[in-house]
Amino acid sequence: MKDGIRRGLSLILFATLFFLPIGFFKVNRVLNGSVFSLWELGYAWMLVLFALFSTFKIEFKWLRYLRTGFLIVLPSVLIYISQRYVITEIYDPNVARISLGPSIYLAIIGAWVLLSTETKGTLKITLSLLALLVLFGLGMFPMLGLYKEYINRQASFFLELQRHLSLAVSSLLFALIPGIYLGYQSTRHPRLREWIMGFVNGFQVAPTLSMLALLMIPLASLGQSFPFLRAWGVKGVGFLPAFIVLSLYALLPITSNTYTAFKQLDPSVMDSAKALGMSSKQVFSKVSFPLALPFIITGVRIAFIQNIGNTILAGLVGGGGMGSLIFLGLAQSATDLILLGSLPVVLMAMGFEVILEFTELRLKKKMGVLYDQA
Amino acid sequence: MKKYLTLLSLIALLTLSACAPTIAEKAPVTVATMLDSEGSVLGKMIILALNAQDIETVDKINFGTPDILRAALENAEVDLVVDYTGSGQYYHPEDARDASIWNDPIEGYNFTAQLDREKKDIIWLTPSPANNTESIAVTRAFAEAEKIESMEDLAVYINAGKTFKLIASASFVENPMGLLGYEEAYGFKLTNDQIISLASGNTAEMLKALAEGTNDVNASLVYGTDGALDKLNLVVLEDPKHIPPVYLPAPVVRKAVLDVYPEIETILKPIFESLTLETLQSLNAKVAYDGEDATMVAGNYLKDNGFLD
Repeated sequence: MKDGIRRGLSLILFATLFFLPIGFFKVNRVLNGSVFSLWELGYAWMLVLFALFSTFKIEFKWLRYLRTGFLIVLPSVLIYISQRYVITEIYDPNVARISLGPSIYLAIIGAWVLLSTETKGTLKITLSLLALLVLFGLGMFPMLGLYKEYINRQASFFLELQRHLSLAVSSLLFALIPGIYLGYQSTRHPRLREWIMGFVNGFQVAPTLSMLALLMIPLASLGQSFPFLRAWGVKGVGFLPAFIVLSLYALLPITSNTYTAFKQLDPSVMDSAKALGMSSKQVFSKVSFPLALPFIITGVRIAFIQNIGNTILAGLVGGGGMGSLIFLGLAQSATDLILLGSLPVVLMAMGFEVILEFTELRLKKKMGVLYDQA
Repeated sequence: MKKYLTLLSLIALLTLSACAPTIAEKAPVTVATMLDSEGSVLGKMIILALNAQDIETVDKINFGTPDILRAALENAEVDLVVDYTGSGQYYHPEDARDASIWNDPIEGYNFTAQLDREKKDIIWLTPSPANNTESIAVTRAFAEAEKIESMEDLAVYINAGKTFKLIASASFVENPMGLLGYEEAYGFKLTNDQIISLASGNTAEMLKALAEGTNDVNASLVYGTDGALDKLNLVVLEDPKHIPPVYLPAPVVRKAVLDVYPEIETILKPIFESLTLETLQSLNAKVAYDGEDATMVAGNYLKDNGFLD
């Protein structure tokens, strides 16, 4: 997107602060609250005026630095001042809470879109996000419903976060070798490819939830019949059914991308390697596999991002993870708890996407197989 | 080749370490409860009380829906749950004799406890006297405007053809001891578009819908121990004929675990006996509506009542 378009977009996004609700004031955890707008926050509208001006092109170097600093802290400042909403009725500050309204989310996106027009934009956006997270963790937003839910269950939040990551990572690792093997074999045996792809696609099409439910019964009976398996965690609920389902789901991106990776190799490269006297094993390990690796990593990246989202369902079968927070929030009708569960998943997915894409790019450059990519 | 072997073994090690077995002398007690605020509070109370007596526990509070919880208990996935005496009607349907035993707290409890002990090696411990039964609630404004105080008044209102919409769980709507029982006893019949039936039995969303008038709902299912009816300006309609079964919360434990830790019974008995309806209502309100930390609420209750130092 051209810079001009991005600046125009930011302008619109900042302008929504003027007419869309900036927050909801809730008297307690469950009931929906009353909306409030920017105009009820005293002089906060001046801040938005600055934000609007910041979308214009700035010539002076120092003004530009000021603008960058302003944009980086803008999200945190907006959330902070939304807590200043003055309520006229009597309320208990421990119980009443603020939920963020649509215009704050849009304005935060606006600030980040504007930051993306600057040099090292991704770094600055990350800084802005980090500032938000650090201030959140330090308790600078105590009136935020999201914070109140977080502080009430801090220990279990991090425990579930760790469980979520370990489930996503371990199921991915488990699917890695079979996925690569199947993908490679698909290139060697074209007839087998149909079967392998059909098999792997089947798991993508099957609804994850049904697979989880179907797995519960055989796993439970298996665990009951063989006690030593139970000690190893073979149960109908918990870690194992989620692990199995997630591994099967991760198979498709890995297999499919491995197939493409090996298929796109230039046969003349392999021929030259053979001509140099390499055995077929050496050709594979020193030539084919390293050349295919960047594209295999693409498949791993896709599988991992997919897994992070899918792991939410583990919460339904007692497997822990952010899903358990989301479903608890649904059951208790506490929207901030649902957010507390879903926001980390979104942030993790986005974060890993950036990291893994970066790794991929480095690897591709190193391998010297960087093709022109849009 | 060597590089790949080490990589392979590393991956294998990583995945195996994720499911490594834990060997302990006396296995800890896995405590699991349902998804509502009562499950949080009672579960935390049990864990705090057991831990104080040096019994190690595994925290699986808010484990899942009632059927998943029961399945987990029967399959020995979890060791101790909080269940309700009236649920016996679902667990042993083939043995259910006349339905009237469920309206007597002691008979219902004895029936379920005996069958579970004989058939499933599951022991029901001392219940709390709080009847967490299913009732219908309406907004205070509605009750005053239409002069409705009991189910009989409601039946008159419905039969007069006035607008009515009830939000409830599917199991209540289809239960002969639930909505169907109410309809038969008080002489009214709801049509399908007068009912919003939800899959889950969690009343938090139902009461929210009632309090905010979403979808023209003017009545909702409510449980006896639901907190903050005051805060939401809701009233419970009286049920002089006592239609729904009596649901007393009780700790339910696997016999195998109770044999290892027989003191669980004596630890939990006084705690559960002290939980009256009003007590549970206020504890639930603190967690569900005020958003207080369930561990704090449970801990404070135990300390204030001398169960914990």
